[in-house]
Parts: sequence; C-alpha cells; structure tokens
Amino acid sequence: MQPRSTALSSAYVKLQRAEKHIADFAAWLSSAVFDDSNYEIVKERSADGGQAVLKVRHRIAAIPNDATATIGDTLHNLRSALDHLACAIALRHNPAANLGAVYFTIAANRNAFESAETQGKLTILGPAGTRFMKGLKP
Amino acid sequence: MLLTTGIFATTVIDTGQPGEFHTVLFEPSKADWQPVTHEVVIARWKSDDPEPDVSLILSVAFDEPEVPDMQPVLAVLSNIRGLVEWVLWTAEREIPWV
Repeated sequence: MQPRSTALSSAYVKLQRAEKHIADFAAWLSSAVFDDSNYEIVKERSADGGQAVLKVRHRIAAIPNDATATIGDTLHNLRSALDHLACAIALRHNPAANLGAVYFTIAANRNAFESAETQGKLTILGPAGTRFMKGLKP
Repeated sequence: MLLTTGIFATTVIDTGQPGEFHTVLFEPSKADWQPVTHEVVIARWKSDDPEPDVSLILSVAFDEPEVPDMQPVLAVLSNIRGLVEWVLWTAEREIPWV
C-alpha cells in the first residue's frame, strides 16, 4: 500500500501505524481466547453422588490496559490519516495555508455538515478539495 | 454410561457474568471484557460407571473448534481502517495532485 502521490505519504504512514495496532490487538485477542492456559478441565460429582460431570472451564481475563491503549492508538492514527489528507489537500490549494486550522471535517448529520460554520471550514481546501469532501458526505 | 458428550452441544452453566456463551464455547463476542469464567459440561456419567476417556472427548471437541467472529471491537477497527484507506484511495484519484 503505497501512495501514488508523495503528498499523501504521511497519511499512509498513519494508516500503516493503525494497521500495526490492529494486528497487535488481534494477536492479544487470539491469545486471550485461544490460549490453552485459559482452559481447565474440572471433574465434579452431583450432590447425591450419583453422577459425575466433566467440565471445561474457560477464563477470559479483563482486557489489559495495553489492549485498551492499542484501541485508542488505532483510532488516533486513523483519525490522523484523515487529518493529514486534509492538510495535503489544503497545501495543494495554497502552499502557504495555515495548517493549524485544517482538519478532516466530520459532521453528525447532513444539516450540521451543510451549516455555514462547517462549510466555512472547508474553504481552506479549495474548490476541488471542497467538492471531494462533500462527495464523501462525512 | 456416558450420557452427554460434545463440547458445542451440551449444557452451559451460566455464571451470571456478562455475555452469552450458550452452546458455543469459543464465542466471547458478547462479553464486555470483564473477567469472565464460563463452564461447559462435556461429559456426564453415573458415578458407578468407569470414567470416560477424557483425552478422547477433548480431542474430538478441540480438533475442530468453531472459530468465532473476532471480537466486535476488532471488527469495528478493521472497518474504520478500511474506510480510511478507501478515502485516501479516492482522494488520490479524484483530486488533481500535479
């Protein structure tokens, strides 16, 4: 997965970091669920002693802090990838754009997206960028 | 006499913890990732009878475990990742970069 345009390199780096975090999380999930050490074979007798029962006891530990941090890192990197895209679009329109005011605009609904405030934020992306963003219906 | 066998089709003792395992052991997807312990009866027999061959039961039960859908969190993250990749891919093609 390589960008065709160098302008999007940093966005793809963020995306690749997110992929690594997802892989880490998947690995943790796999070990939490499938690791043999999570299983125990238990034999019990009924109260009257007439029956014996064999059980598999399966434990899943609480999600560790590392795993929750990995989830957060994943989302942060994915969000950053979109912000880097927005910055690249703004720079393409105006190489001197103030990137401090640029971010990938996401609105809760259509009315919010079409509000004057949100549309005003899109102008820094230029006509092509604004058209692209509107097409995404973010 | 062995009365019950089969890890995926026998009684599940609900420990009262969050989640619904029911008859499928390998499906923690509805647990909310609190520590949980679930027990599945894999064999039941009369105490006077010989104990069943545990290794045989387990080999049958675990040889072909039902692989679960991965945890919903993982699925959501993967879906968002795919969406972001699609946005980048689309941007590369729809915006004249040079």
